Amino acid sequence: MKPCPKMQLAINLYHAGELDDGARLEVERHLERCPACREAAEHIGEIARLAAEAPGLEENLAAASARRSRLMAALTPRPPARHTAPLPARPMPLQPLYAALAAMLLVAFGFLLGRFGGRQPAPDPTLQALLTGFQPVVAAGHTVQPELLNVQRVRYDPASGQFEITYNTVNGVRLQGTGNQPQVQLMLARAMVDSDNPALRLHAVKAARTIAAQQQSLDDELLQAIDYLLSKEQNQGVRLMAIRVLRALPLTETIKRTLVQIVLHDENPALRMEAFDGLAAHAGGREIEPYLQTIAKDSSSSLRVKARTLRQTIDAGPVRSAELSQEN
Amino acid sequence: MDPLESEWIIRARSGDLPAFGELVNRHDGYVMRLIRSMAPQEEAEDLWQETFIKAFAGLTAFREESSFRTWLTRIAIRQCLDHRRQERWKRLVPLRAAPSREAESLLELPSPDPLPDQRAVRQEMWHHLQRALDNLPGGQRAAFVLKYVQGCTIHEVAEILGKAEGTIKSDLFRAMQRIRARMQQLYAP
Repeated sequence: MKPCPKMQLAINLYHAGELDDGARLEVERHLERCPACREAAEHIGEIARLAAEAPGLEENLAAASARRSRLMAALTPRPPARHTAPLPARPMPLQPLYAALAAMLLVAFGFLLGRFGGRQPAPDPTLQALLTGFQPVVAAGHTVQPELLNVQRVRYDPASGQFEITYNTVNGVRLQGTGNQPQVQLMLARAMVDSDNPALRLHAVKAARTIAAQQQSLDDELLQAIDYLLSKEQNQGVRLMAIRVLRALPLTETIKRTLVQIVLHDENPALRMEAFDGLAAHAGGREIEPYLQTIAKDSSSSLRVKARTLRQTIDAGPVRSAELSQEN
Repeated sequence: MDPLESEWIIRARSGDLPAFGELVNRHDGYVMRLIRSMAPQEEAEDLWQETFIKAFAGLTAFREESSFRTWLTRIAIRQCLDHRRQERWKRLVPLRAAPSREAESLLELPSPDPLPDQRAVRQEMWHHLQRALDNLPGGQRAAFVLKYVQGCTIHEVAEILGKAEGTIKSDLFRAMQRIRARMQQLYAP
């Protein structure tokens, strides 16, 4: 038995201690007579208690004291460089130094990028060592580390077939190119994974779908980003579009497995249907056939109907299948 | 605001390190607990240090429109979210079939060996809760940690994260639903 959907938010707020007396009494009365909600409430309460017991203050005092000493040492101004400074008893942690160094280098890098637009700045080995990750992107004549990219806008002009990607390091830079250029695909991947803006992520995935449809292939980084979206993305519109990217590609064994996983396990019925359609469109539905029995028990009635119809189509063979499509 | 804390802030703004040290002493545990719930354990100390270094550098911009703790919490959360954003880019893995839920559950089931005591059981459960937190989007995780780990009110969480209270309620609800689903999956018979 499932807990009452209308009570779920109230039960959460009840455990968060955020209900007034009247609402709290109402929830308590409901919990007394509804075992499913009571069970859900107990589970929520258990998680809330567990979170409140989070470790963090249980460390020993010596560790905390040492941590504070290191911080103070890091904040203490350095003696002038011309003196030979004795080594501190506790060496300053490297990360703040790196961060400060990186910040200075970034400012200098951005200044050079803006000032000498057409020239390719010599890659700074220190900066490259600091900014690990993907390979540098050569875009608009500049070498840009992916860690520095901050994609702002993705546009596609169907008339010219050109993608326009506006990104920002220190100065705004715009890249124009076609989908077969690796830097275009890398920037789209970057936008999908890194942007907090779901609209931008959606534009990037749509652009990837266009490239997939045009070229029937995508670079590894872009495929990785699509995979990331399928497993982690919260915006269901973006996830739906990510499935459509896979649908636009040839059905490799890997893509087939991914789509099957979505059909069988995804929580969103619209996504399950999209993945189902992607599989059913190949080889007369034979790719999805082994799973039809399971899908016929899906919680979504539309998907159950789709599975039954496909089953009938496959069983009927080509002649009956033509009749069925006429009937529909 | 506590007058003593206000005085430490004024002195720290002019570069008085011992005064800033007092502020660190007061908020050290709170910030560390927050960061440990938001970021990998091995990164916690670095993030803790970066938070206080940024706070020291940015004290002149602190206008006391909120409490010092609220302001510090914002810096810590931003540090953790930035770190997470960088890490997820670095950790991208090639497109592969997602592991089946059954396989995932088996991998993550608690060890069948009896655990020595109740404390160890709670630690194991906390470990699973942290894994569930790792799978939440940044905003939901921040809201959940501030509310349930740090004990803030929804009003305070909204103030810290700069969102409407309704959005925070919705984030908390979604976060709890996802955590419940994951924990149920782990402990279901």
